[in-house]
Amino acid sequence: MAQRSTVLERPVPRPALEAPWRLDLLRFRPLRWLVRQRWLQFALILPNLFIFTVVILTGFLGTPIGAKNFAIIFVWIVWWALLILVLVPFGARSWCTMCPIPAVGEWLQRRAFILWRPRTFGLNRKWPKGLRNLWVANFGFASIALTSAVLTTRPIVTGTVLLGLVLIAVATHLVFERRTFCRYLCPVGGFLGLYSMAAPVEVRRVDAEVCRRCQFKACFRGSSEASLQVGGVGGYGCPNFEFPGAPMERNTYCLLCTECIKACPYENITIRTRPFFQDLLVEKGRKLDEAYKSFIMLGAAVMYSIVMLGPWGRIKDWANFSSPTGTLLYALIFLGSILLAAPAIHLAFTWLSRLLAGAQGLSVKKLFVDYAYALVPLGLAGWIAFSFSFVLPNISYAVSVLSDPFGWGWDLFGTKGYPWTPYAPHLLPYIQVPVLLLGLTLSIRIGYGLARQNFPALQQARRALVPLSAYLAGVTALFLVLYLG
Amino acid sequence: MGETNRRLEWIAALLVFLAVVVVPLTILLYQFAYHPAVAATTGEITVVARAVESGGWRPAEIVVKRGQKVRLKVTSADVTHGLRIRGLKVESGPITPGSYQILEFVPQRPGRYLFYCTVICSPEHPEMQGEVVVEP
Repeated sequence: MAQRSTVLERPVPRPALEAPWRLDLLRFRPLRWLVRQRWLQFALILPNLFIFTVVILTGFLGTPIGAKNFAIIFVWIVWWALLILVLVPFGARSWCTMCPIPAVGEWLQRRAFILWRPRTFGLNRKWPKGLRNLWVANFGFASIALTSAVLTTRPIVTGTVLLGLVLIAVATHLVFERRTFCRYLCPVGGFLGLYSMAAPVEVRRVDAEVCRRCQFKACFRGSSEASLQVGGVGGYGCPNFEFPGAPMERNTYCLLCTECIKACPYENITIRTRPFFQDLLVEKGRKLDEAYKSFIMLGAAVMYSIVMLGPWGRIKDWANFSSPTGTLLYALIFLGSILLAAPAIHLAFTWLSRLLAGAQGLSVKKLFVDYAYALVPLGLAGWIAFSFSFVLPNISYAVSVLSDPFGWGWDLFGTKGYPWTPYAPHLLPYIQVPVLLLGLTLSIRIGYGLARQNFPALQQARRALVPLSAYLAGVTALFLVLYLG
Repeated sequence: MGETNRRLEWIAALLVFLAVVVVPLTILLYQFAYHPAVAATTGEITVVARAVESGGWRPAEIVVKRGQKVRLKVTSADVTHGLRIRGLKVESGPITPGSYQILEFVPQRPGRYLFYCTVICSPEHPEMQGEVVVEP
C-alpha cells in the first residue's frame, strides 16, 4: 500500500475545469506559493488582533456613548458590514481564517505562532460525542442575539462579550483538541458556516483517486515525517475536524485556513471558484442542528427588522431591558419566535408540501430538514437588506471614531469633527427590494432542487413546491412591509 | 533552516507583543500624559435635543467643574424628549418641542456621567446619549 502511494504523481496534474466560472485558483503560481506559506494565516490574524485589542480597550475604558466609541462602531457597523456584505457571500468562512478570537488559544495549543510542530500542548481531549453538533452554538447565538439592542449600543457590553469569547476559546483550546471552540461553540461560526454554503469559493480535493490511494491522510491527521518526505510544507490536520480527502463536499465547516493544502504531500487540495449556493443541494451532511440554525438566522433577521426598524416603541423599550417585565416579555417573544414559531411555521408548510405532493410515505423530518436549506438564500438576503438599513446611515461615524476611538477628545487623523452623514438613505429601498427578491428567487430555485431530490416525479415536485414558495414569498413580503412600510 | 524558523517565531512573538501589550500601553500613557484641552463651561448651558437621525444631543459632551453649580436649559427641536443624567440624580421629565426645562445641580465627584433620552423618540432612540464630564 505504501509503495502504491509513493508512485503517485506529484503535484497532481490539474485538469481544466468544465465551466468558465469553475476556476482552479491554485493554477496561478503566485497564489499557490502564497497559500503554502506558513506565515500567511498569522499575517492575516495580526492586524485583526491589534484592532481587537483596541476594541476591548475602548469597550472598557472609552466613552459609554456608542456612536463615539470605536468598539461599537468598528464591531457592529464596520466589521459587520464587511462580514455580511462581502466576506460571507463571496469568501465563505474567510473571516474564520483571520479571526483573532481563537488565535491566542491556538498558538498556545500549537506552541507556535507560525511553524508546524507535530506535538501540541494541552490536554487534547475529545469533545463529548453528544455535543458534536451546532446546538451549543445555536443557543449561544440565540442568547447573544437576545441582548443585541444592549450589546450593539453599550461599549462595555461589547467589550465584555468579546473578551469572554477569547477566554472561553483559550480554555477550550487548552482542554480539547484542535479548534473545538470554532467547530462546536462559536456563536458566530455557526451562521458563517450556514451562509458560507452560498459562497462562490471552495477548498476541495483535485483527484479522488489520489486521496483514495494516499496512506498519510495528512489533510486530516496533519503532516508526518513520512508525508513530508513525499511532499507538503508541514501542516496541521484540519483544525475543524474536516477530512478534505474524504471528500469534503460543503463549505459549512471549512475555515479556509489552508492547513490541508500545506499538509497534502501530493498538492491534491485546491481552492476553486464555483457557482453561488452550490452546497445547498448537497444531500450529504444535512442535519437538524443546521436546519435550526437556518430558522434562527431567518427568524432573527425578521425580529431585528421589527424591533429596530419598526415603529413599535414599546418593543424597542423591552429590547433595551428597561424593565424586568419588559425584559421577560421580550425574551419570551424573541426566543419563542426564533426557536419555536419559525420552526413550527416551517413544519406546517413542510407537511402541506408533502400532502400536496401526495407522498405520505416520505419522512416529514427529512423533508423538514431538507427544506430548511431553501431558507438560506432568503435568510442571507434578509440579513444583507437589514444590514444596509443601519450600515449606510451610520458608517460615517467610523470617520470621526477613527480619530477619537476612546471618545477622549483625541484627533489623531484630523477627522474627529467629521459630521454624522447618512449615506444615500434615499437609495435604501432600491437596494433592499432587489436583494430580497433575488433571495426569494434563489430560495425558490433551491427549494425546487430540494423537492426534486425528495419527489423524483416532476409533477409531484412541482406540487410540493407550491406551499414552500408561498411560505418563502410570505416571509419576503413581511421583510418588504418592514423596510418599505 | 532551524535557525530561520526560530527567528521567524521570535519576530511573530514580538509582533504579537507589540499589538497586544506595547501599543495599548502606549495609548494609555499617551492619554495619561495628554490632557485634551476642554474649556470648562460656566453660566447657563443650552442643550438642544433632536432625534438621533437629526443629530441627537447638542452638545453631546458637557464639561463642568466639580463643586460648581451647573444650570442646564434643555429644549427639544423636533419631538418629545427627556433627559436623565445617570449617577447625578438629574432628570427632566418629558420636554415637548419648543418648550424648555431648567435643570440645576452641583456635581460633587469628578468623572464621566452618561446622559440619555428617557422618551422613546425615534428608531435610533437607544443611541440618543451624551456625556457630562465633571473635571476635578
